[in-house]
Amino acid sequence: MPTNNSYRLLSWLTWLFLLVAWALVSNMGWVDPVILPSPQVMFRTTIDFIAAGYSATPAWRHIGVSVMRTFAGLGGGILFGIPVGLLIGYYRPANAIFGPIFSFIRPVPPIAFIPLVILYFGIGEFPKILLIGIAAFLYIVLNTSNGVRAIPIDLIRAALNLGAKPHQLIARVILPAALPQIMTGIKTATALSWAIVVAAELVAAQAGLGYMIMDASTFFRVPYVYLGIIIIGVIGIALEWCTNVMEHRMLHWRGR
Amino acid sequence: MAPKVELRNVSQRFPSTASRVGGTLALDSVNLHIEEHEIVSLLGPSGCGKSTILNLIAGFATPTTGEILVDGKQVSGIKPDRLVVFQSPTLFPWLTVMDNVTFGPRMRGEAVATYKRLAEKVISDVGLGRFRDHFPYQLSGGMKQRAQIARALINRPEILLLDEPFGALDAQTRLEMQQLLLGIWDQYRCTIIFITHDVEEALFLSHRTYILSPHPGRVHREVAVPFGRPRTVALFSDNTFSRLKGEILTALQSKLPYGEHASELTQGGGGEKDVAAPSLTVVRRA
Repeated sequence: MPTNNSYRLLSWLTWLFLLVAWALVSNMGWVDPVILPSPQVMFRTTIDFIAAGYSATPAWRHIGVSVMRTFAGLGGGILFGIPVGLLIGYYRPANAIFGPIFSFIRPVPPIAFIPLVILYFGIGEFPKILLIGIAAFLYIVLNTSNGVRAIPIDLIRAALNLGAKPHQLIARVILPAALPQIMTGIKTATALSWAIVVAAELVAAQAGLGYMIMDASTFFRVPYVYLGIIIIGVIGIALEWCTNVMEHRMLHWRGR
Repeated sequence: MAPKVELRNVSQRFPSTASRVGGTLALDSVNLHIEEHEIVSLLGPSGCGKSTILNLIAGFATPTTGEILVDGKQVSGIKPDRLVVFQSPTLFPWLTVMDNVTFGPRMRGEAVATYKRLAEKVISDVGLGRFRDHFPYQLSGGMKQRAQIARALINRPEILLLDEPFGALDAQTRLEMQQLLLGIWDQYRCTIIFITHDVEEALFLSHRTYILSPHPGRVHREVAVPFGRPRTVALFSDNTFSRLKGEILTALQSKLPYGEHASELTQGGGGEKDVAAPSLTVVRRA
């Protein structure tokens, strides 16, 4: 029987294989090194980037700016999304009023709004954060309200029967009962936010990982394009890991 | 003295849906009464409106017509002196057994000192002493129902409404829980209304049983259960117990739409006193 460890080993072996294949393909000259830099070049580029940054902006700032924009938008989305989701999940008239609007906006790729937010708010920090915030908000509202609607009626009756007042019902019963779904919304929104920040920076920014990729491709500094992609991927994995840990901690009572 | 709980001509009609034009009549002129400290079971097949009756007494719904009286006064709203124990486990899964049990007092803003001792007591009374810090997912089905009973008891309810609380448990556990409930009643003396579709369960627990018939829900017969207390498992092999069980099963079957066993028992219908077993008397505890 294969164990979890042997599957993990398999994952690492895949990475090792890709690395070896990459080194082979680039060093043997099978692929133009301008299109695919070798691992050694990438290693040197990474060192340079850490030491000197990119286009007179330090590395930590490119990374930090992207992360901060994500967190600001995501935070805003969560802060507004949970109460609105609770409201439209619990109170049907609110759902009737706002539901169709949210359903209309949700399937539109957030990137499609980039020209509009630039038109309205320019190319500063606010439009980027707003864009991320709206996308995160929509997914958290969707999941929260679904979570509220899925709460068994008997659970709410039990709470009322024991003397819970309306505000206690919301804070002590409905919110925790919907939390598993809310966490699903937060996880989706986090991944989405990270994707949107890069897209927004591709279009209009003076710093950030998206900006770096765009600028590097304009000036044909291909290793920096790859480096940007790798950093985005690694941070994406780290974010997913963080949200998984958070979910596990907050929902330990599900017993999984 | 007024009965503890009384239903007078209670009818309940649920509004129309796409599939049921004109609405559904769930209860049709139900009359019943439960005396203080009595255990009364409502026995019937699904569709006989027994859960609807419980929801009405609990205050989760209001009847279309008729009156529901508790201590002679019309029921208004949901109150912790009438507490429901549900069939589906409705423990709050994010709270430990202890926090579930103290949920009521905490919501009502009572000081910890006032309920802490009682919390320990009710938890040990239902046999969960060692599990006070466990979460619901760590409990078996029977233990969850024990915790639900403890969560009700801490509020010192006058009336305990049990909605098929042991229906989902295996036979062994169910018997254990029935005995536990009898013990709880001995000690706390609340009025208990117990919903079930299990004839033996109704006979084992109650002073009286109302047999309900479905579509629409009506009181078919009232049966006084003549056995003294304390009751033990030996009751299940008692002759009168078996005879009563047989009679009730026959009565239940005669009232099913496809029943072929229409017997003389049905003639008593409409909520009158049990005519087929005149020897049976109502056992009341003061």
